[in-house]
Amino acid sequence: MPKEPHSFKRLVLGLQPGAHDRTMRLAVELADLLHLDLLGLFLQDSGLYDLASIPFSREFRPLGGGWHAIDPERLSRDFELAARSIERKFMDAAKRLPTGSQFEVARGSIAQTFASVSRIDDIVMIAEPGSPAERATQQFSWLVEGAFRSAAAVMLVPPHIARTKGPVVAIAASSGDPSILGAAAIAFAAKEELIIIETDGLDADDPRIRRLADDTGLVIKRMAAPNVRLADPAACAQAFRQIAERLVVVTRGALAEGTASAITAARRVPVLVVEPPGMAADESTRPTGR
Amino acid sequence: MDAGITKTVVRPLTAKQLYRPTDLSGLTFSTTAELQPIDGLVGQARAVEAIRFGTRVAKTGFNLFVIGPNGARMQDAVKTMLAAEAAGKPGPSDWVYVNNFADPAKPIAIELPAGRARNFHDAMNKLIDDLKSALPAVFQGEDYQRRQAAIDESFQKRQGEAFSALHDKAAEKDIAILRTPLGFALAPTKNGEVVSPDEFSKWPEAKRREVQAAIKELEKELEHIVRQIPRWETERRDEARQLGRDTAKYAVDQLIEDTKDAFKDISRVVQHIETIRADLIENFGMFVIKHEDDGNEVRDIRTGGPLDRYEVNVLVTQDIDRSVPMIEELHPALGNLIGRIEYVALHGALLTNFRLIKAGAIHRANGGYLLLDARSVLLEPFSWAALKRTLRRGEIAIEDIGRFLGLTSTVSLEPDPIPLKLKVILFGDRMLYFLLAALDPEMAEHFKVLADFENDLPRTPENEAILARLLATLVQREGLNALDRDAVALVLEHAARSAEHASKLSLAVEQLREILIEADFFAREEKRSVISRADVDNTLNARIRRAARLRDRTQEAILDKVALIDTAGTHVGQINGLSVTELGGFSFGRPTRITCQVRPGSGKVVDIEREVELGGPLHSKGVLILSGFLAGQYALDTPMSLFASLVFEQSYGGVEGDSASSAELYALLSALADVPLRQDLAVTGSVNQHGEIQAIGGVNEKIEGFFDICEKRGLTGTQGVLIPQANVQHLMLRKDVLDACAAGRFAVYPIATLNEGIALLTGLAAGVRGSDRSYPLDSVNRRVEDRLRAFASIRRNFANQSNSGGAPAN
Repeated sequence: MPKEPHSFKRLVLGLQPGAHDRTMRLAVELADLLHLDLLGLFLQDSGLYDLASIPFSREFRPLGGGWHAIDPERLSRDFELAARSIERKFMDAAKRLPTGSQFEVARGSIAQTFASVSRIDDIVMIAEPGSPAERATQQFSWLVEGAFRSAAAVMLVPPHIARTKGPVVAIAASSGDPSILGAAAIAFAAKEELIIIETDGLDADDPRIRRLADDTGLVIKRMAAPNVRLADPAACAQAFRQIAERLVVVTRGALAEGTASAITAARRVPVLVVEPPGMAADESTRPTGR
Repeated sequence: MDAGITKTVVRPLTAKQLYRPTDLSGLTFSTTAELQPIDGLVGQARAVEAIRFGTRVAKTGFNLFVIGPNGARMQDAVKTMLAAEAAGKPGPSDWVYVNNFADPAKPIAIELPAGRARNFHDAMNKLIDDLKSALPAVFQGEDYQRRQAAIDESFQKRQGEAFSALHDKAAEKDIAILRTPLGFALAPTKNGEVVSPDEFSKWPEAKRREVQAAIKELEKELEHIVRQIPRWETERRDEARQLGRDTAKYAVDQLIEDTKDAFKDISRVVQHIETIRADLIENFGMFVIKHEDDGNEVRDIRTGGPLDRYEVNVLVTQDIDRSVPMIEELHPALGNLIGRIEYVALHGALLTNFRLIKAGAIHRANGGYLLLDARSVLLEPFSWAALKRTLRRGEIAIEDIGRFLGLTSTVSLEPDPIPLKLKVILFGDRMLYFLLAALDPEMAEHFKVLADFENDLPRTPENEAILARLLATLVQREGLNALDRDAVALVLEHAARSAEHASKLSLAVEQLREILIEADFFAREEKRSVISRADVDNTLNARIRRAARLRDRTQEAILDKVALIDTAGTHVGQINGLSVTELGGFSFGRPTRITCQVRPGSGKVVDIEREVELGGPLHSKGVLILSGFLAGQYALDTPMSLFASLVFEQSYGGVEGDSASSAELYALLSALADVPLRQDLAVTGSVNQHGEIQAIGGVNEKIEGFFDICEKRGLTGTQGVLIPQANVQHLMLRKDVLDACAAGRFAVYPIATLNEGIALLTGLAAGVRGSDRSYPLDSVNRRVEDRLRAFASIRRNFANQSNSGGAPAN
């Protein structure tokens, strides 16, 4: 295995008020595993400031006893406190990280800000909120939109992670699918098995998988799942039967839209969506890949 | 009648009277190897009866207090007896402590048949091991995870659908749900962005109102959904909990049944295992892999790890093959006696649980015998009171004394008390027993049986044979060389000397054991396989030599005339008294010069020792008796007009005892009669008001003390010691003294009355009153009486003169 088996340099973790420290620990673990710098990006939604200036705007505080008018000053103060609290948690989680770590606060449109900060050699990590209410908010949609609009690979993290040990699974259309190399890099770093689920059927003669196994010393298992619809939970469970994976890697555009999110929800493990070759250069034609 | 002039002659004692050799004629043996060893108690019939009674009466309060002299090895003897008593009796139950799931601060005690506690402990450990693998496996299993996920999913779905519907409804009206730092808000949007305030203000009034109304309606729905979430969450938790219970029950049931099966004959154990089943099912959450969200859950540290509370703390277990326990606690501190609760420090706090309960000696001895040294119990704080409290309660309650004293303020335990069925045997010396009996009224309540060990036994040939067998036992037990016949005889003679009685044998077995060990050492040094009389003699001499530094220095002072003692010639008002010093278990005698001065006075005999507070009460009593004797014996028709002073010359320590009172009286009579006393004789013995000489202690050491001085100065053949006739039976003198007496170079005189003594000391007859009520001329008594009358006359004359202007002295 080459010294740098992947091209990622940085892990960008999108953070919002109420972000859980388990997400931060997971980000630190992955950054450590892949020797990435870590950026914690706290996003202040400028849309809330716009809303605060609309006369009838108000917010419902579940723990605060009902409806309250949105005061811009109060909003700023609350954002500042939330940012400070999250920074403390983030820096605490990252203190043992041997690579660099940084925490930044950005204010603006969430989707644009997130997309603009990310680079082609980034992995942006988005943790799905545990609460359906949070998931229904526009900010989460903007966060996902921004992530997939960026040039970076995207990691979707479910609210509750079922396993933190186990093989890394690559879902590949062919033996040359970029997801295989991405999954191999993580499996190698994590000293786990690599399982390849080949959606177009096994190409038994393809020498690339054998060469990858020889180069890395990885235990590689190949499974055929032709024409499987992974967005369907039942089909997904069938494809992953007897696999207790810790991470799934897919290639953006290789699967139907929404498949990555569906796999995340069905398997309750993080899913990394990597870029297909050549796509990074042309953002305008990039599929969303969700 | 002039019969009183007859001089009484006191004959010195013969060698036979000075030492009684051992009579082993009834016992045929050449060495102790041929003797049948003897176990148990020798010559202790009274104690044996008491111990037998005390151990057989199984009623409250009939515990034993065993008293006796030091070195009697009472513990060993009692243990041997108890072992015989206990043989064949079934052992007591085992006891364990288990967790009280209803109230962990009050651990539960469970009784099991002997030897089963360890089985219970092992069975529970196996159950715990099985649970450790079975429970996580079932909770990590696909089935549980799937069902749990389904419950979560259902909850998420319900919430998700509600919010999704709201989201869609809002989106239709170009309204977005936004997350604020503290809650949720609804905002008008355009092209996926929140409408800016400028643009909003430019909207027509009707549109603004329409949007506002739409937001207001959506707000109601948002609030309605959010307020339902806690109820949905409660429903989810209930479903998840029921799933957990069902899953745990499935995993636990068979393991519990298997564990129960081995103890179905012990209902209390079965009941406890059932409690464990219920607890496992109720607390299945301990075995579920926690989501990282729950990582901060505080564990119940008081009970250790999640499964530790199912463990069994074996407090006491009995070997099934052994009979009743017999425990000797050498360090009866409170915790060692009644058990203790230990603590572990965690994060600066002291924590405990049922597994940290430790048994005390009472637990271990329960159902059998507990042997304690009374002095040790009394020296340990709280132990004596705790022992009495335990005996009174009839159950063993572990007390955390640190709590009572306020030394620890942490949460502690109140373990179930354990029923007490115990015979306590206290060992102590007599003084301790009598003090306790006098000062602690509870002692009689709890220690109703006294076993009083004899100091000695009569020296009959039968008892000598028994003691010889006891020596054989000691030799065998200690792995020593056998003693030959003569060695045995000497050891027995030493036992008589230790008993301070030629007709008794000391039962200080420990002392005999020490002598045997030392004699064995000498024999082995000489490469001999049998201990001879010479070895025993060497031992006895060596023991004296090691301890006799002070004796030697004292004798040295006398020989160097630093301490003035005459051993020849005569002197008026001066006599050699004898005293005994005991230090560190070694006693030696030494002569002390006693002098007396007389003159007319008011009838007072002054004890200078008492005046300077160097004399003890017994000594003062002896001197006062002298006054009584004088008053009743002489010049009965004349007021006592004597002033006499008595002193122990060169005595700088205290003087106690009345054993020198006869010597003091001899000195007083000598001074009054102006008759010199022989200085080659020394005197010991107390005297009563009738002039009878009474027995004293330490007679052997006193004789030997004077002999040593005389022998070192050279025996003249006239030297000797006057002892009370009653002490003749106590004589077991050293061989060199015996030899000197047998050769006529030293003498021991038995004295019954003062008259016999004064005659021997002065060479004059004491004198007995004749029919004319007067003493014969030239008798000592006549001289004394005449002198007293003369003093009275002087005093009378002086009084007459003083009436004319003078004043009487004293």
